Amino acid sequence: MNDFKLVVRNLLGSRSRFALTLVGITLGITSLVVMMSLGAGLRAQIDKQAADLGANLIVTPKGWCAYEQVKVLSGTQLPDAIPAEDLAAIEQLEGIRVLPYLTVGSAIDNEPVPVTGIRMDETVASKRWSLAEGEVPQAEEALEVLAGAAVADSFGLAVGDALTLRGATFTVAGVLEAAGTGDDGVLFIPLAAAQKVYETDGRISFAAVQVDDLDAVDLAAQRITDAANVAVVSDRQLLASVLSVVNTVSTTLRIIAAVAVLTAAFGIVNTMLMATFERRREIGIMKSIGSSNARIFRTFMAEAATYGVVGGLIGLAVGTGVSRLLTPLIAQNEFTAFVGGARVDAVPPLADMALILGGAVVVATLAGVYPAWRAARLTPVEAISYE
Amino acid sequence: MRVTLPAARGRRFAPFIALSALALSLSVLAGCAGGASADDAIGVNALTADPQAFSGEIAVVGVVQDVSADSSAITLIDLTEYETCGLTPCGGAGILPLFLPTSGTPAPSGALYEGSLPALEDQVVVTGTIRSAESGLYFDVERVDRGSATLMTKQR
Repeated sequence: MNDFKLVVRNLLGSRSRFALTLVGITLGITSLVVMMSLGAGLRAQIDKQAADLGANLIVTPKGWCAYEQVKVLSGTQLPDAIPAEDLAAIEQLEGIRVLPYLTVGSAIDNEPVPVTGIRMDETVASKRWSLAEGEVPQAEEALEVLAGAAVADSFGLAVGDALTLRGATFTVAGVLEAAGTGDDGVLFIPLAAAQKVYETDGRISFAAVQVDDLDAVDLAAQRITDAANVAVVSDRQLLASVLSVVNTVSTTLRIIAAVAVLTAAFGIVNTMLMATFERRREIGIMKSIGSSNARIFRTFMAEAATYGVVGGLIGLAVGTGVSRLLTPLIAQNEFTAFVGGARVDAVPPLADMALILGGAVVVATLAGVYPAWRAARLTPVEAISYE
Repeated sequence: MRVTLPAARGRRFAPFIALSALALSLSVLAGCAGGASADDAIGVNALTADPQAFSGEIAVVGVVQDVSADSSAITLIDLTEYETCGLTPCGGAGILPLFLPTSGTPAPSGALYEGSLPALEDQVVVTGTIRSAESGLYFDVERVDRGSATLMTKQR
């Protein structure tokens, strides 16, 4: 009997034990795939959101933490803390274009919805939005809404529909095409109308600044902080700040998944040790008819590696399917809403999948080292005499 | 060669199946215990952004930021704000004042309550309705829950 057939026979000799051990490694790999998909999905969405913001600099109130910087990208409610005078002073500076945002909120059918006051034409042009229907509100204080694709779809909003925001009746003037970003879930209203209805006395939440001369971004940031009592972060700093939080979350998720894989590895050790114990007589007979220690060792290692290959492949398939199902469910808070709010590629890249499979094989093989060594060092007399 | 009859084979698996079913049931129960109502509730920031937009009875989840000296009122802050920034929120945080007197001057709704106030930093789910009074809008509380326990209800 060749080695391959021997390995298959040994593994399938106890099918229930084979299946149960396989379930362990499969679950570990599944959880690793799901966690890596979520982490990668979050990072990809944040990159996209940051690019979509179209700003070289973000002007914020002083003292914002990373949590509020995340909110800049997700369009959720932020304090109206930059006064009108500061905004006016910034807009006086040459060589920059300023897009102010006032992020507030409301509700439709008792479901909270984000609302953002913007300068309509400038923002639509800057973000390169397309209209699915209707038109962009024109008047500065028009009680009109430009609805994101997802929020319009969720609540069945169409042009001409009436909405009550802060007690004022707004009319849906237009619905945007899906952008694949957090903007899809937002109701946009003219900035002046938002400031009036939400009684912010001309204040805004933050401003996105585009700098004409990309070599002078740092100088522009300095000029802004000299002109107004605000903080300025570059788009790269904002991204780094947000990603540092995401990376911490992602790393934590991977550690949890790695623990699951390690647990499965110990399951393999246990299974292989039991197999060594149960097959003493068989090992003894193999040695007495001339099998070398190396062959015994190889056989057991191959069995362990097979758990890694089969469990890894099944885990990859199941993990991909589970991450597709779980992603929308997990997006229940502002931070992970990126993932649920837009299409996320839940299939890990091929390179990552190869890495996961390779890792599974390595872990399973390493788990088999000790049992294989124990099996190989049995003497024929010891093995056969055991009853 | 040992021959195992089908019935005997099934009996061999019975303990495993029973154990798996028990483990699964416990997992489901553990997952369902607590947190389910908080997941359905509205956040404090979302409510305070536009309280008039909410109608009928709603559930609001928040963390107790303050308890009044005479123990007749509490304020709630948003759960996510609390988890990120503690009792002093980063910014943009609405606070939700709740009037819960058990005796003496009633709440704006005219109600008195029975039970005990939640403690500072307790995560609670408050069920009630947004109503208007002369002084403005207020949250007319029906019930205050902490986890699976009901802490306060209106006196009937």
